[in-house]
Amino acid sequence: MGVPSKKRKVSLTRAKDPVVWLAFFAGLAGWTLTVGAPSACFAQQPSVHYFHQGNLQPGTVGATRLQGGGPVVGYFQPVQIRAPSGVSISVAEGGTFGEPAPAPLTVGLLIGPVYRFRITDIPFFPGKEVYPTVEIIDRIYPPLGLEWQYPVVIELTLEDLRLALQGFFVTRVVYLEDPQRALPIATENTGQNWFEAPPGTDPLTIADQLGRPVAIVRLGGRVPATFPVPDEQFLYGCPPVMRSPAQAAETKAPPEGPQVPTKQASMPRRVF
Amino acid sequence: MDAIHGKKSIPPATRWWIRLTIAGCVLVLSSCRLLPESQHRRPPTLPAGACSDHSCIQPLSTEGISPKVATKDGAAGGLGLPVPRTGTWASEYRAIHLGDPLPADQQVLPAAHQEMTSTSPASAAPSQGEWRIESAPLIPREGGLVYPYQPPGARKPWPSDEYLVDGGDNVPQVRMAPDGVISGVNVGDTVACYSTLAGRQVVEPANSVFIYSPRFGAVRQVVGFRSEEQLEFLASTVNTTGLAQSHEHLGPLSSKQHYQLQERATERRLNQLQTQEGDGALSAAFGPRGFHDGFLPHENLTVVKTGTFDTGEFALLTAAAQAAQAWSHAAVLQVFIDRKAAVALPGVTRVDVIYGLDEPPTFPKLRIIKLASRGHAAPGETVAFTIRFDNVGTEIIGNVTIVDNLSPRLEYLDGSAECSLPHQFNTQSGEAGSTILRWELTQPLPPNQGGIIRFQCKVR
Repeated sequence: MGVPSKKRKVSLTRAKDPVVWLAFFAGLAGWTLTVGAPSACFAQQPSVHYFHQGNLQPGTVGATRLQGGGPVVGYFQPVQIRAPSGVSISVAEGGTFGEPAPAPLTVGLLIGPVYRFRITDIPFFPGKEVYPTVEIIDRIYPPLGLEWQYPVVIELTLEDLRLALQGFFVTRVVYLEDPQRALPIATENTGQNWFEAPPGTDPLTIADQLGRPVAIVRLGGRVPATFPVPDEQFLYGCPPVMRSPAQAAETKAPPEGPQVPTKQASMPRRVF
Repeated sequence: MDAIHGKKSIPPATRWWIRLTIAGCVLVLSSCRLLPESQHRRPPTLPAGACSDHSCIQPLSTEGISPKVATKDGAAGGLGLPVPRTGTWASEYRAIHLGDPLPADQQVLPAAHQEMTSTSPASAAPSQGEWRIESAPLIPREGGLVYPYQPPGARKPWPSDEYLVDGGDNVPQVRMAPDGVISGVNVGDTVACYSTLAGRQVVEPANSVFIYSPRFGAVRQVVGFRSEEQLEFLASTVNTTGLAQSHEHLGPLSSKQHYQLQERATERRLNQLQTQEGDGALSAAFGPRGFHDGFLPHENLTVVKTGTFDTGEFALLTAAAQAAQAWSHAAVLQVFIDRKAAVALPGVTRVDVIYGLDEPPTFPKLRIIKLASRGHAAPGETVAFTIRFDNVGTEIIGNVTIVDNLSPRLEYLDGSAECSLPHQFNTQSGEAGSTILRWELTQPLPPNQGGIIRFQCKVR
């Protein structure tokens, strides 16, 4: 039978058992987490790591979105491009630009490919042209039969066009507003809500925090290298465009040009 | 023992450190919350009549409604209106019809309230209870929503950020204090609060209404290429964006259940059937206090016109709105004797059935339905809302208050609010730029009576 040992004072400095030191540090760590840093014990917000940025090459974000699968592959998302009054807009199709139509222009664009547009008749800039690109990176889900009534709205202001003509590179990330955090202001007369991203920040990240990014618009001073028929690289392969039912009856067929295959992978390089 | 088994005994000092380590680990594991935030915000689904601790103990949020505490003498309450005297109408009613002593400072109810229950005998005191909250099925904000239309090839959950959701009761749920102060009305909530004869405050949420109205914004960034220039950037920037502040007052973590035993628990027999919808009654929409026009096209439903729920219209109602729990209770066959529900008393040795008259226990129940005139609207278009409320219970209810906290994207059109019953109406600015509409009925609502509320909003 064992003899009960007497209680004795414990001295850390004289303790030689490693288990004692291990237990001491473990208790110290537990005390630190519970009392010293209570914020570390609460549920942390899941950190979001953004794989892409807004300044990537056109088509990168859209291609990644297609790889994710879902109901975005092969879907023509109705898009309405708005511009200042008097501006004409035309979209590249069939290897060249179609007939310019007065703004706003409503077309159906695929998710992923990059579309090239041509902006002409810019107020206060006669004879000048701007060639923005539009990359649709997500779609919306309107009720059946209302797809063309609720398109994705892309608004180009006169200031955007002016900056592009002056040689600046303008990036606009269009996002779907969260109804719970939307600004309580009317927009039917003031236009689309937008704001400037601070320097050094990523507009795609900011748009993702405010809502759901659906399109990336890029404007710059780049013009086609060849005239009047632009090269295929400038048109990003000329992906197919779907006209709205109303515009299909009004717009004329685009002039015949070089037949450009729809698949960019199998397109041979041509030198005009 | 040590000599027999050959084990080395642990020194007392080491034993003490081991216990300390175990205690510290237990503290660490029990204090850390590792559940994702979405699970915390999942709304509880309660069965009808249940009141668990989780639903009764809701954090008293001061968001939306002014947190001013109302006084008992009828001073301005949370929404700037005189606080309704919650005990006045109940004590008067009980004094007249149930034989309770009438308070000296109370007035007598009008005769209209006397003839309603002149044939009902003095029943036992209604069951006592604390909060009774019946939540309609809520739609998670972060996840998807249930919608009849299914996009081709799309799987659930579907994005909910394309819809304006107005109605229901989001977490934290709405609470009505005994003094009439309503708290916890979040953006998009539509609820009806009322008091029962027993003095309980009940909150009844309306169904959610979905309006497809996507709105887009943009973030712009301009990058310039400068040649022969050098920009000197600041080494540091001052971010003037302040943290969003929120005031959240958490309620006590402990609660006291005030459940009391039912006096006659065995009275509920299996063959006693009772509908929870009531027959409804034609509202006073066409009376002197009625609207300036007839029923609107989106109100062409029996439940809106007469208050009687028709199962054939269930599909129409669910096509544009999320049905409340009250809709799912189907009407059952009843036998009435002298306008009271009878109970079948089948005998084992008899062929026939003897119907006996047994007074069922009374219960208060308010049904509230919200409808919209359209399911989709572009910014700038107008949407008309209709709220139909009915007392489908078996006892009179008072202090009926209907509160609607509109979405920030809905702009209330001044002067468009209407109600078919005598009421007091006021508006108040809520959080995030929303507008809070409040209707307070000036008279108690008897059973099988109801009313209609209308108002219009413009989509921003």
